[in-house]
Amino acid sequence: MAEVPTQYGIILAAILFSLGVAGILLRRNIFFVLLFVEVMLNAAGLAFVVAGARWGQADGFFVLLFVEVMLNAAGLAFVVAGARWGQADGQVMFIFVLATAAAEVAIGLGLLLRLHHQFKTLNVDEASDLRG
Amino acid sequence: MTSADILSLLPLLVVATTGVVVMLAAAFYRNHRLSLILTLAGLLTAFISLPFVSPLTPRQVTSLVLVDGYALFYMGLIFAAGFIVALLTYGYLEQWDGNPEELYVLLLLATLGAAVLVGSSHFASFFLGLETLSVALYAMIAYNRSLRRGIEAGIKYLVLAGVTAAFLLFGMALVYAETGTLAFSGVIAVAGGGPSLQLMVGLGMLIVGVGFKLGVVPFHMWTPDVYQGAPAPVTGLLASMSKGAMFALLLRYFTPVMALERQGLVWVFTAVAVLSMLGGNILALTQDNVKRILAYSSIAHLGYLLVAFLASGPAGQLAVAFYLVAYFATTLSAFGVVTVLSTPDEEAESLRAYQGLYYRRPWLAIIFTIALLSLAGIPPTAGLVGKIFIAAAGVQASLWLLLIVLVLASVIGVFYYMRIVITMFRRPEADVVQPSMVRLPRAASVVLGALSVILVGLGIYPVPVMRIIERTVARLV
Amino acid sequence: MIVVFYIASGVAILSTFLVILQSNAVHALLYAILSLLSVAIVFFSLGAPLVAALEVIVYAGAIMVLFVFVVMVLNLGPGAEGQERVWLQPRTWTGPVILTLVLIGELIYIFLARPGLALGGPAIGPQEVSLALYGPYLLGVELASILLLAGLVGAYHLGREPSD
Repeated sequence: MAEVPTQYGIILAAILFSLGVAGILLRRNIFFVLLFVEVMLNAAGLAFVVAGARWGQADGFFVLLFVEVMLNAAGLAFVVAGARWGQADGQVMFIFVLATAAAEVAIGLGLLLRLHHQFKTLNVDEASDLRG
Repeated sequence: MTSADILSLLPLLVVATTGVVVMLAAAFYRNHRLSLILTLAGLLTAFISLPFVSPLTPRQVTSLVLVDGYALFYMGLIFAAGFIVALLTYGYLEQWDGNPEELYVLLLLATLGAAVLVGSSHFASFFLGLETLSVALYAMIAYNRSLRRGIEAGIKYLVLAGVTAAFLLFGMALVYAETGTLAFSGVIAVAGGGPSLQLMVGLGMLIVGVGFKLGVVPFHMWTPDVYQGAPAPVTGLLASMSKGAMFALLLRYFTPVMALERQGLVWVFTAVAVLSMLGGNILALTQDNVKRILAYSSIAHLGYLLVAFLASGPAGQLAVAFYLVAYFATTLSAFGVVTVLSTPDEEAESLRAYQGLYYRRPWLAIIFTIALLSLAGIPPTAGLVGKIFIAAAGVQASLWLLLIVLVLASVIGVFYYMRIVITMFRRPEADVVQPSMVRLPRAASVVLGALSVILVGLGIYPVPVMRIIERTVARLV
Repeated sequence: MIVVFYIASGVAILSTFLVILQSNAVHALLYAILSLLSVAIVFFSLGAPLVAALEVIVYAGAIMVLFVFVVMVLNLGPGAEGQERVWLQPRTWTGPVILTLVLIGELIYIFLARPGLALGGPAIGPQEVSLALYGPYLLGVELASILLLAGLVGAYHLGREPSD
């Protein structure tokens, strides 16, 4: 096993994670979520705004897919971290992440099917009965 | 794991077992009442086991769970909340022709998740407890699956919680990469040696995740929608158990982190608190949907709690614990009233449905009024005493800005709480359609009555609860 | 092995990126599965053969298959493509893209600033992981099973026809 700097592994995870976030931002319409987390020396910060993007028809589907991508990326980060410290804990956490992803997907897809049944569309934008 | 270890986990084991038992019972013999009784019996047993477990504490069971006075206190609160919601749900679901038994299983599993959350001392149990709670909630929110708004609320909550979970996980992984340990104590030890940038990013992501779960500004976006679309008793659960458990965890483990004098962190939490207190109350002014009003109000209350969190120290701990008790009682009482007036297919959401409630159901109106008074912080309720504790802690820690905002926000809050009260006492106009008279299930009435008594009782005589808190919670440094 | 890491990483990044651009649900899924498989290879190159196998079996093999089922049931194939394409205007994606690039840039900067230990070293095989699962993480395993139970009951309830 040659020398792969830990950082590259983390970076890979970060990129995949960000792509997951991008996927969610791009494919979902909506509401404006303002996340403010500062990333500077004293605190982590990230700001992003979800600009309205019109959805296509298969939307809710893609959102779930990207949540899975993000969870996978987070799991990857754990495995990398575990490898860095030579511990099995990272892999153990990954297994737990796997279980979580499975449970979430089961319910998520169930909801998606219900959504399709009720609203005749997967476009979460059209499921807006609740705007107050 | 020794037998003492297993014994100290007894409350958790009882709840888990009950969940499985209820599921099996429903598999063989579907009976709504049976499910309810089993659920109540289980939660009651778990609650009663708490003082028996107490002599064994504090006990670190594997590195995942720490059973101590703090955990037991909040577990008690969580079990009580589950018990109350189960009772309220019964009457609510009786009017539905779907299968009600699954909800009790999910309720028990959610309770278990929350209980694990408050006892966790390791990222693994933190995450697993949180996810168990969340996954159960997804299904509970969308439980009436033929209701469009329920499905919508469920999906929104799932997406939100899923992204949150990913953020939390990523943050945990970063912290782990930095420190080499997943146990909270280990993380704190390493962080004390001068946090690095990577550690801070990890912590930041953790905060984002926690913020979403607490529903504070600016992570509050879908809270009102989810509250509105979920069945009323589930909303009650969301507002109390879900937020309360997360906050207990936050208090326990972020306090030492804050104590490392990370000015930035303090600033972040202060900003969040201020925005939540003001935002929650101001946004509630524009609503005329009772569930949404309560949703925004809960955002504000979490803001108040954050003030106590920032105050830290024994005074802060006491304030948080007491305020959470009051908050649980109030929230469950308020949503209990909403539940009792609703059916799964048509909820009593709009303000108009409450017009003249006093003349149709005087006791319900009074119960609701007491709950609203407590939320507003008007004597002689527990809510006021709680706010006084928070203010006291704030003064002790010289959090002047926060205290000013607290007072200001509370004043704003009075307006919309009073609006509901006034609506209830106003004589209904002739053309207002009266919602059908819902038969009041006896169990629900008893529960609601008891909650009101507690709210007023605590407002007048908070000492017994204070003693309990001091003996269990406040022993944390 | 280091070469394997870089190649697999590249494939993972590229295919995940392509998932975003697909308008056809099935194509997106395929790229996602490809991404997961490459991550599995990355795991292997990091000395984590057990999770590499699990990634393939569970993530790509079970979870993604669920997605495939949904595509089948909802018939999300070619018909849906047209809609997506119309909606992905540059105007709408510039903002999120810029922000994501900022995010990635920030994260990379932060991580490069800290020299970490190299990831070489002995593989942590199934035996070690299993010992951890049955030892210190025992409670975690039990909790995970409860979590799955919650998912099961929830999915069962949501999946039934309302008329039942």
